[in-house]
Amino acid sequence: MTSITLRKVSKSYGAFKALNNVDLSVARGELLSLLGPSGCGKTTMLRLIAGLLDPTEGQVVFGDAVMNGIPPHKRNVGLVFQNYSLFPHMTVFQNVAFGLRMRGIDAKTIKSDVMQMLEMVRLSDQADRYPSQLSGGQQQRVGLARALVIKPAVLLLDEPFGALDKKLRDSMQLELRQLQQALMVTSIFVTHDQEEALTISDRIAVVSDGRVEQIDTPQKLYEAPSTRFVLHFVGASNALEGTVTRSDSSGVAVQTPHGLTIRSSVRPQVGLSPGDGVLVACRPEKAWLTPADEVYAGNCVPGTVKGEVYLGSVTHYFIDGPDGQEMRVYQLNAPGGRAERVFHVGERVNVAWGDENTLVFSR
Amino acid sequence: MSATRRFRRPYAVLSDTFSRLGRRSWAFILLLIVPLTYLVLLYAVPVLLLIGRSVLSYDVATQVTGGFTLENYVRFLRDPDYLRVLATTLRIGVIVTILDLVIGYPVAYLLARTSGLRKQVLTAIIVSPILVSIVIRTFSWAIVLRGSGPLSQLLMAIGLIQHPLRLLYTETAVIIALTHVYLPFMIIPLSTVIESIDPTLELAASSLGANAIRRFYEVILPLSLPGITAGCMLVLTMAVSGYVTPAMLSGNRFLVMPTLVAQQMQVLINWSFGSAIAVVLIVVVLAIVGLFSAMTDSAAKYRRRVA
Repeated sequence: MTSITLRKVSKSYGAFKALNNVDLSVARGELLSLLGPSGCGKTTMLRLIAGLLDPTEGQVVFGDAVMNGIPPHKRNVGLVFQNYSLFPHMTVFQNVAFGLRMRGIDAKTIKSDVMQMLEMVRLSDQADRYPSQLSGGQQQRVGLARALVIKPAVLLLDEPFGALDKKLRDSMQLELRQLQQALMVTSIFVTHDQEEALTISDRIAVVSDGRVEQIDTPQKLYEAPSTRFVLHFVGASNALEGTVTRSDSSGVAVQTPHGLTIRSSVRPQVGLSPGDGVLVACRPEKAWLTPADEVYAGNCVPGTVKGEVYLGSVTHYFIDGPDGQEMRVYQLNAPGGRAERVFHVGERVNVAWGDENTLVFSR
Repeated sequence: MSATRRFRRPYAVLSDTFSRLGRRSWAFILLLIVPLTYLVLLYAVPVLLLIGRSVLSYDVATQVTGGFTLENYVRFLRDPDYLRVLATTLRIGVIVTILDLVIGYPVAYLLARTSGLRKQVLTAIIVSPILVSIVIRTFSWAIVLRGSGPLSQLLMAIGLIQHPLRLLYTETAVIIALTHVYLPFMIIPLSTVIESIDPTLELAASSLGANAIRRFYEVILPLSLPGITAGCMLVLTMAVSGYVTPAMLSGNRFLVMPTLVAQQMQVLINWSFGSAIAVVLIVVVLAIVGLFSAMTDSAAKYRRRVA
């Protein structure tokens, strides 16, 4: 295991830039997710690291070694695929042993290493079966074992659980995370599923249009997205366009076209001055609802309840906001506090939140 | 399941189709009547007549057909000259098959791994020789290979040989022409199977440390085995039973089984002995098919999918 760095990496196909000047570094033993919509360049990044592609510009570095031009079979990377890509003509044992065999390791060591690895993924009793005789989850555990047994410099996972159903995916995520931490293997996990990325990652890189928008811990990414794209791509939000009326060390005040004033005390925007157009936003679970006649002194946006979805632990309210814009409020169904109050479709309400929860994005 | 079964038993696909139609339905019977009549009248009846004829005695001198005898088979199997014809036929068949496999495999791989217009053009190039009559193709080879032909002149011009080639009317000439004639029948089934091999398997093997050569031997080759057996079976059976090419390129200087049959029937008018030789050839071809079928069965074992 080692650290992985991309230095000013670009990848072009003719005029099309799949990756544009990407800087990225993954620490030893870290699990970093590449999160983004399909076609954003995350798989290209993975393939550059694996050596299946070479960058047009920039460097791919493992530890201190520049890997440009080194073919995949000399890079010592572990690849895990969405469709498992197990060798159908080999048993589970032979699949896992493949990488060790290519390295010319003696049969005895191979046997003990493979069996130990199969033990870790709880498949030692399936060693003599063929991949086609296993379930999807078992096949992907073989895929993981095959990639990990070679003690790769980095483990690359390309939407590995995309083909599994939700329940199995959840348990596989947990299992991968435990395995990854037990072996302390540097890992890069490509996914378009934000929930998955939030669940398993040390850090997440949000990728869009061939650029990295933000690299942060799951919490920072959600609580303090640095761009509008990240705001919209990770989690839901209530966003309103507006114009800055005041900007100082205590925060900013923003006037919306509907005459509402939204204030933010979060990370004072040094670059903003009155007159600048901005986007203000609040996460749905940070907001709450009040009846129309109870005006909250903080941020308060009037609207009408148009949907109410009870999900057990939480209730999701969908509000018709100013200019018909949809707003959301997630209310935790816990004893005490605001949750005691229930709202119904058609009711006039205010969406309220504190200044400390207003995110501000310049244009 | 059905995709893998196709490699094992082509007729399994057919029987699947028919059982889906319902065995007693009128559509099923109607669908069968035409091909069945055709097969019975034009294939089964002649073959049965052939087998029947092969066990009747025949006197060439008096041209009298007699009663039941195995003399025709005994005569073939006892005579080293006839056995040599069988050996020549099999030798030519095996060499042609191996050459087609070696030449066709890279082409099949390329065809399997390209797509779009390039694939269409490549397919057209590979298949186009079939559009030309086999007589014309064989005759063209006769022109190319003869002592005063272009190949001979080229080789002499660049100094590789001193005297004109003596290729025409040799076994080599027959092998060269047959290899060319049957090459598409090797490439097409091979490339169909190679195409079904997931390309990410090669990426996986590569990431696990396999270089191009090991990727081929460890992954691509074993997985293309069903295509190899299918292509080899096709080419081998056609190469041992083809008549036109050996007839035109052997110059009657040596015989293969089909030309021997023709000689007995057309020149010596010994239908009984000719029939016996033809039956021997049929048995040999059936044995080849059975052998390859068994090989594909064992190769297909791991391809079994859990439904």
